[in-house]
Formats: sequence, structure tokens, C-alpha cells
Amino acid sequence: MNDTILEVKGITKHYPIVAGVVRTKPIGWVKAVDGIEFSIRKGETFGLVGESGCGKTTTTKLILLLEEATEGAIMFRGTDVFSIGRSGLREYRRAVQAVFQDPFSSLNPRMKVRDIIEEPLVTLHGFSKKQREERIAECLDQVGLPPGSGSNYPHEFSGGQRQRIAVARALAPNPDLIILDEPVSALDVSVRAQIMNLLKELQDRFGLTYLMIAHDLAVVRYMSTRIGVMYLGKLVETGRSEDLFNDPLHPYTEALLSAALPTHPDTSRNEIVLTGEVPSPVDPPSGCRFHPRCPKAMDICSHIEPVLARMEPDREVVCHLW
Amino acid sequence: MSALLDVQNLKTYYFARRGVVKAVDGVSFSIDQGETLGLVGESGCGKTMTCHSILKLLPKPGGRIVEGQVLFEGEDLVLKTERQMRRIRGAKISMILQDSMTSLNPAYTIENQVGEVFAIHQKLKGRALKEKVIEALKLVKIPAAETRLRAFPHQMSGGMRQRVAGAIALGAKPSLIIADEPTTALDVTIQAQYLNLLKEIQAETGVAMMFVTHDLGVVARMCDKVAVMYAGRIVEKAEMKDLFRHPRHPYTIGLLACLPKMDAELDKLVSIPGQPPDLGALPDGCHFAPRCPECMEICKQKYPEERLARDEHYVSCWLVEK
Repeated sequence: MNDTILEVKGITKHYPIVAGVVRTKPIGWVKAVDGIEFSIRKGETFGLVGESGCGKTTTTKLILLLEEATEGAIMFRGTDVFSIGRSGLREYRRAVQAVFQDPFSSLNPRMKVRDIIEEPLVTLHGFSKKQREERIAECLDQVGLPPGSGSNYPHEFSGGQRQRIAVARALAPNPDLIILDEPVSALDVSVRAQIMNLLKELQDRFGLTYLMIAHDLAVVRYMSTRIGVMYLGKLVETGRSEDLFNDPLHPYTEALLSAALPTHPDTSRNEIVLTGEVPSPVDPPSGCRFHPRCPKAMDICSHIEPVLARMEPDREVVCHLW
Repeated sequence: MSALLDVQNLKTYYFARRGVVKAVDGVSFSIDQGETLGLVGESGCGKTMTCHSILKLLPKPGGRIVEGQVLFEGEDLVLKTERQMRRIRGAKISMILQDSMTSLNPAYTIENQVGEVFAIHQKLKGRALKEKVIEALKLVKIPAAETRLRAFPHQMSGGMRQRVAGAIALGAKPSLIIADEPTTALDVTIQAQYLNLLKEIQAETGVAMMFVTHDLGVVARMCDKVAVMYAGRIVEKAEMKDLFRHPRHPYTIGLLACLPKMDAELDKLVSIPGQPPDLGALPDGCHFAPRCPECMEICKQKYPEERLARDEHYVSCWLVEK
């Protein structure tokens, strides 16, 4: 499809576990991300959910080229970003920006807000000093910060405002895709809604595409058009946000949704409490990786790995039940 | 029946070089035997200082209870000496903290850390002590408890570590547990397990709980009563269901409205403008006035006294008629 902006093809990241001091050799591999595939279309928000350690953050690092993939490819507007050469890479790095979880550590405390927002523009070249000044003022305004705040330092701002600065920095080079890694989970509850609304507004205004990582399902539901659920380095289900929430197909998705607490005592829900914990990605279970915790596990699940089943357009699930 | 814990007009100030921080400014609430109170608020609103004031674990120098009473089983803890407090902490009132990675000592075994409670309060030694430790670990459903005695905290997963923290807190059969954000560091599926466990233990032992959290979902799941804190004061307290069904204070209403829901498609979230105030420089009048959508003239001048809005439902707001 031609409206696909980013396509992740069987991407895999294995980290070595090394032994020895001088002659180090790998004694095992942490399979952080193990062959996941998804694509993101222009203008949508793709949400990636899963528990800690399931490989969500590694996936974003791979897309941002902060880690080198062991296998697989990432296609950006049809070209493979692992082999696009220097100028292509420069363009890719402009077009893909990120906002991280903790605005207390993602902003350099020694730089003024103006310089923080200016930095991506400086590295891109092609902007005169005057153009950069204008762009900074524009970005500050777009994220709802007062025009004078450029000359302050990050510590002078509250958590919510700092996250606005981080958003302004991501907006500065006019990106196509912004990766949001837990953008609101470090913020106060009463401030979260402000930032989520801001992100949605900016998306409408500039036709941005988001890849959002979050563990809070209600946040993902509110923000995302489509959702992918990850478990232990694999994508187990993808689908349109409302379909996935109304009718989860994979037992893990179902359990994850039921574990999320409704914010009102009158909301009824059926409760599936999973036993056990997420196994180690060093030595994942055989067959389906979820089978030791799965309430619907069958014989086949423990020795044969399920393959991807395409249910309807836009709906994929990896489970023997389907 | 008199309440198990009755906190009356508690004021804990922090005397810093730059001025007085009124972290807890006239807080009153009570907890009956076997009951669960939820204390809800954002970071920096004085929740944790309230807990620490009850156990007199205030930061020194600087933190001081300046006024008020903490009546526990009829006795005022504020007047107790440090020596007397030591007999209460862990034995009658105990705490579960947010992050078990930091609340457990990495250099001691599980047996050592859980056993401390019994060694100190019940003067147990040797075999009797070991049996008690195993019993405590079984209470929190740690599988194969006998084999875990010699383990160190880093060898256990987050969920298991938090269970060990629970075993330490529950070991000496206290009548009150103060749980300060006990599940914030856990994944959703593990959080569901842990909350269920606490509920079961409460049903078995009849322990009262004070649940400090910013997550309204946890409150809806766990609590009988709720107190909402904002900038060092309780702005609203009521029976849990009553509070969710008929919130009266604009802050509570805003907090409930600004949460994304799992079960509904929303276009735009209601958000509370601004951010929580600095406790060192509070506005005159109602602390919420600068962010309140229904702020009146009087709100900027005088802090509203607590009024009874209906049965057992107290609100500090000028909108509520006397």
C-alpha cells in the first residue's frame, strides 16, 4: 500500500550474554525482539503495548537506529533504512523524531530551552540563524509555552511543561513520524490529559504519524488508531483499536485487558488473573511463548509455535486457537 | 466503636532554608478495624508525608509535626518517644513501600530480612524464627517458600520481591498496614495478582489498610473509603462508591473526568489546566482556585472549611452549602 510510511519486517535483536574477561565469548542470547512485523500508515497512531521486558523499547531503539538489528529490515517510505547511505540517513533522521518518557532526564539541564529546540535544526543544516529563531518561536507557540520561555533552563519548568519542551524539540525539524515512548507515564495524573490532548491536536494540525509505546491501556485506547500487543519479544496480536478492545482474540490480550483496572467501581468486568510471571527472554518457553501462563493452553501450544493468522483486514493474531 | 486510627488536624511542616513547606496542612481522617482507606493525590501533594507522620519517620532535620493528633488504638502517637515508636513500627503498624528493589536490602538474604521482624518484636531465635519466616512467606503465597530463604532480592522478580516486602509488613500481624503506592512499579498482570493477594490476606487476618495511590483504578478495586488530597489538604472524603458516583469538589470531578476510559471511545479528554502548586508558595484562599473552572471571588480569599455534603461525605469547597 502506498500510504504506508514505516514498515517493520521481521526485525530481530539478540543481545549477547558474555562470559570471560579478556577473551569474551557469548554464552547465550537475550532475545529482546524476535522477528516482529508491522506497518504504520500515514496519519495514524500505532500503539505498542506489553509488559516491561517484552521488547517495546528495544523496538523503538531499532527504528531510531540507536541499536543495530540482528536481522530484518525497516522500510521507510519504501526504502530500506539500513542501506540508504549518508544523505538518505540524514533525511530519515529528520523525518523520524522521538519523545521519551522522563522529561527530567531527556532534556540536557545545561542547555537553555531555546538551544534544546534549536539543536536538531543546527545538525540538519540549511537553516539560517534567523529561520531557526523563527522556527523556535513557532514551536514554543505550538506546544503552548509562553514565548519568553526559550531563555530559561529545563529545571525552571514543571514535569508537564518539560514534556511540552520535549514535544517542541521533536516538532522542530518538521518530522513525519514521532515515536512516543511512554509520553505521559512520568507525569501527574491531572497533567496527563493536557499532554495527550496536545499530541492529538498537533497530529490533526500537521498530519503527523505516531508510534506510541505505553503500558497504560486506557492511554493507548485513547490515543491509538491501531494497536499491537507484544509478549516476550513477539507481536501476538494487532488490530484496530476498537476491535481489539471490544473483542480481543489472543488470550494474552484478553488477560491484559482484564487486568487493567476500570476507573469506576460500577464498571463490570470479567476478571482473568494470570498466574506466574513473564519468563526470561534468554530461554523463552518452547512452542507458543505464552503457553505456561495461558488459561486456554492446549497440548499443541507447548511444542509448536503458532503462525500468524489474518482474521479480517487489519486484524492479525498469533495463536493456535485461530 | 472508636476508630483504629484517628488522625486529627495533622500539620507537618518542613523547615527548609528557603522557607516553610507546608507538606501536610491540617489533615483529618479515620480508619476503622479491617477497613481500607484510599488516600489519593498527585505527586507532591503530601500523601507520603502523611504516612511518614503517622509512623514519625520524618526527614531530619527539618520535618516536624507542628500540630494535631494521631490517635492509634486510643493513644496519641505524636507524644510517643522514639523508643516507644520502635515497638509500634513493624509490630502494630507496618509499611509497604513502592519499590521493593530499593526497600529491601540487597546484601541480606530473604530469611534475614523477613526474620528481623520476629527477632526484634517477638525475640525469636533459631528454629522457631525460621518457621515463622516460612509461615510469613507462605502467607504471601511465595511458591516453594523453604527454598527461597537463602535467596537475595536480586534473584527474585519484581512481583516476588514485592511479596517479600508484604511478608515483612504482615509478619508480626499488625493491625494497620500503610501501603504507599505498592503496585506502581509492577506490571498490570502482576499488579492484579498482588491486589488480589492483599484482599485475600485482609479477609483472612482482618488487617486495616491505608492505601496511598494516584491511581483511581486501584482505589475503585481496593478501598472502602477515599480521601482526596490536594496541596497538603484533604479536599474531599467519602465512601468509595459515593465519591465515584457523586464527586463534589471540582478537583475530584476534574480528576475523574481527565482519565481516559477503557470502555469508551472519546474524542477529547477534559483536562485540568495548569499544574499542582508549589507547597512552599501556596496561593491565598483555596489552593485549587487558580486551576478551578468554577472559581469565585471568595475562593481567592479564604480557604473553605470542611463541610458535610451528605452522609459521611465531606467536602472543602465554597460551592457546597453549609
